[in-house]
Amino acid sequence: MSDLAQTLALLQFGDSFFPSGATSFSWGLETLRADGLVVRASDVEALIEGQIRHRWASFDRPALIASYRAAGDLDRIADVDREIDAATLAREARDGGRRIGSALLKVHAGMGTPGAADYRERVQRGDACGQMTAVHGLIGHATGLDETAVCALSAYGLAVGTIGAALRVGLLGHVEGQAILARMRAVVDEAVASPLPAVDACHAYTPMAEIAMMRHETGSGRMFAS
Amino acid sequence: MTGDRILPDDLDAVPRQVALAFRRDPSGRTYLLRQHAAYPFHVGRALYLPGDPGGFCTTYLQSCSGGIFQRDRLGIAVHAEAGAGVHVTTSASTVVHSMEDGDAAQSIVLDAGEDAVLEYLPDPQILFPRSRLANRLVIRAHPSATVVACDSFLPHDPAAAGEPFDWLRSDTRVEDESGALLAADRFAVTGADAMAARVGIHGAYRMQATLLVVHRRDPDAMLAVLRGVLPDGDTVYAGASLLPNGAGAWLRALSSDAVALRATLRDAWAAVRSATTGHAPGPRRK
Repeated sequence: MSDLAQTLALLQFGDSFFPSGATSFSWGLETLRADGLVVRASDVEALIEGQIRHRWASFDRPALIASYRAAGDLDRIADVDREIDAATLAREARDGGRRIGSALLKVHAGMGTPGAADYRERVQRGDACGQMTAVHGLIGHATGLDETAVCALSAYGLAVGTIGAALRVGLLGHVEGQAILARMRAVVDEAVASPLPAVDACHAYTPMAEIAMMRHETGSGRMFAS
Repeated sequence: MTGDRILPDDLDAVPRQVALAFRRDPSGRTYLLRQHAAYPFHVGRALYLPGDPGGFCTTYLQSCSGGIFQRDRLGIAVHAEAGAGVHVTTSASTVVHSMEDGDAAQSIVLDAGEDAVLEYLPDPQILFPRSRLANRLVIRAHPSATVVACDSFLPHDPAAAGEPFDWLRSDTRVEDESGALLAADRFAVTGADAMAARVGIHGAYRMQATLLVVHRRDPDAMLAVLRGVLPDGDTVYAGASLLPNGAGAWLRALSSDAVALRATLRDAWAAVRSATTGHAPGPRRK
């Protein structure tokens, strides 16, 4: 794939126009705001930075890279998928990861992306979990993206999804959101250079966000699915 | 970190200083069938406490060394055979001392047979400045067993010099009776990150506690029990959820108040005990 073709693919998959389903999730932000723990734009920025450094870098990234390196071997991808599902302890994070993974598989199956329809069948049969990170790796490889691009897309999705949720609950203005997104580039750059754990040693430490998602399960007046 | 792992490579070779096996006798009384305890541990005698279900056995695990020190490699195994009712706890918090060189690691294996109830509820680990500790907890449970396990930590800086612990790593696995993974909780945190007051990580809270209730018979009932005792208010920030693969339910809490955090764990355990055995536990001597 040429550099230009890869850039075009990234623009397409990273665009909010692409139906990834990720805009329904706030990943704890809605509850953190309701609980008075996130009150201003700088809190949103700190939250996203923490999620990238302490979850994405050591948990999502090893999963999507392992799935990418499985190079279309669906059995190996399903193993990564199961490991990640079992290690995602907050139910809304686990269910959210599955919902986004399934939505992506549906779109890519329809687009004819190699492996997407077969893997979607496994998920529908209950033979695979369909976690977002495992699906990102599968699709990234199948569409010819390189590993760095797959990481960029995944981290960008996390950042932009949280900023989108913050905009909708009135914590940020559009320009503030864009400024945060721009500053996250350096954070992601550092995160991809950090040590890469094995998938069965992937780890995360974001207890406050995790607790917020657990509290969200019983929260009232919810706009988001997490 | 050792390569791509969070636990030290030599943890598998750690000798077990403590190995306990509990059996239920024909009268329904659980007794200590086998007991191995080597330095630094002392295992207290089997206790049958008022308020416990008939035959339920409580044992205190004590450390003679005054805590965990650099290069310690500690191994503990507890096996509750079919039908046994077991409560293992410590007599006090565990101090994880400052380390000049190397790190410390602890490996705990809990194995619960058919219809067994195994509770492993140690007091918090107190992390001194420059301490480095890796914890591994493996829970193996029969589908009809109940295992309640907690871990909690708090940083302590006796000189108030703003010096945090170096790191804490934790690897918890819940497995079925064949060893297949049901749930995993892995984290690595530096003292600086735990004390950085960052939203989403610890916020303004300094201490963290986790309680797992492995109960495959009825995970939803356990979730309802945990939710029923979640504290409200600012002192403890807590949530409860369902474990993956129908393994049970769990609770995580942050606080800066050690007494309140301990009460949260105690209330959760007591509620689970009441729901699973019909008996609310009495107070424990510590």
